[in-house]
Amino acid sequence: MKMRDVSASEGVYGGLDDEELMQRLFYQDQQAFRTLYNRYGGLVYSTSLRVVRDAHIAEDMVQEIFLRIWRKPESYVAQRGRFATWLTSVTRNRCVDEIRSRKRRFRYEAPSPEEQERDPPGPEEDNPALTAELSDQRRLILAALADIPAEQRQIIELAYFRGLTQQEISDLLGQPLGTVKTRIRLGMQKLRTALTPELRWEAR
Amino acid sequence: MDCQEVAEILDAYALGAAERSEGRGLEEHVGDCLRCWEELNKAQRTAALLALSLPVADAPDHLRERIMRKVASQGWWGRTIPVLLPRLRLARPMVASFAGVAVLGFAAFMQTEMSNLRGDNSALELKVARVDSDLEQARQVEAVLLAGDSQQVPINPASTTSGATGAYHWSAATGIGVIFLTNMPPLTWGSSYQAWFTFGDAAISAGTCFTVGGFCRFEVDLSVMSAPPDAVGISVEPLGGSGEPTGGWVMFAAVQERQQP
Repeated sequence: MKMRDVSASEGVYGGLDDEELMQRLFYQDQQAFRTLYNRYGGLVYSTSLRVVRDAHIAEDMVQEIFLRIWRKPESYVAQRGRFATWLTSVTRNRCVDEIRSRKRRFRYEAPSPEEQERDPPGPEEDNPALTAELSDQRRLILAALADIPAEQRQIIELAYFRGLTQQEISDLLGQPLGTVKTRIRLGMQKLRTALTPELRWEAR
Repeated sequence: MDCQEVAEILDAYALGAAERSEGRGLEEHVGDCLRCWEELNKAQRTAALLALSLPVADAPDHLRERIMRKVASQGWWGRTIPVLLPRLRLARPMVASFAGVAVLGFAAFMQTEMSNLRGDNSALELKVARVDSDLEQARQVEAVLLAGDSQQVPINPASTTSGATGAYHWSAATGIGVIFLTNMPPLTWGSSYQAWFTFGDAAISAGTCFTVGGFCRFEVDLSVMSAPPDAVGISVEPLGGSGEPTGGWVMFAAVQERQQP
């Protein structure tokens, strides 16, 4: 029995929101999946690339994450937050697991702080495929990040995007462990305050 | 670990930077402390937003094709039914009440219409006969609902924005099954809703319906099925129906037959 959605067209699916598309995955709707990929494939790839720093591994991560979504759409629970946030969070966690696993197997070469500084996010790089909502959200997050001291931002990014522990960051930067802990705490507190409206939305 | 100690490490924990031993202490504490659990929740949501700060690059085209090929090679069934079943169990009592009210209301409506029609002139006799037939069907439906072995599953819409609801009721004792659909979206001219029972990769039609006020009802003679179906689905087909489903499911339910004692 060949199943085909006669209403399927980019126009129709492009008008559906993320939750509706995810709901359609319960019916194994390939067009809905394709639309989700078109919408977020770049975001997942960029997040993966930022964490694993290897294009081939990043591609494997993207494939694994999207196939997991296809096989288990129930793993996303809309009440817990926006799809994009959930998706990037899943991506980041999976990629950190991967580099930690590789670190155990091979000698992992952590990027230097200078290298870290070379690729700060910039609003001028906005991808036109991003939804307006996501672009607005990104601008808010970038503004919040820009408002915290560079030392705190660097440590937060090393923790989140490199999957480094506080001790590893301390070793890498040659800073006392207590300083690293304090900078993480202060930086995150400022981010939380600045992103309060976003957090309320996420917790709707 | 107390609240103060947790406050000092929860941001690191949310970023995945806490040491393993610290993480274990925090997890034990937040299991019993709602305030710290809420703080941790906020910290985790803040951390999750960080990934959205990244500039977004296009993924390679060959990756899209690779993933789409993998998806296309996945089977249709596989995991859909187990996913839906827990939801079905939760919704059963509500659907049973809905269906009961719908059938009794329908029967009352038919009784009233019958009374109004009796005594009218001979030109209305044909209509009387049709209403009689509908009333008989309503009685059959009632018999299915009231049968001791009556079973039912709710039929859910594919779109979360759809207000449509449905249920499939059946009874082996009466040999009858009934599908109810309400709040169905209006159809374009030339199309109709068609109900299907699926058996593996095969599907048999359970009839077509052009909705009246968003309501559809299909009666099914269970004797035409040699085995219980895997699922019931509703698709939109050309008026008069199709030989097999050509559209995607607009409503769907996995059917799990309860063993009779």
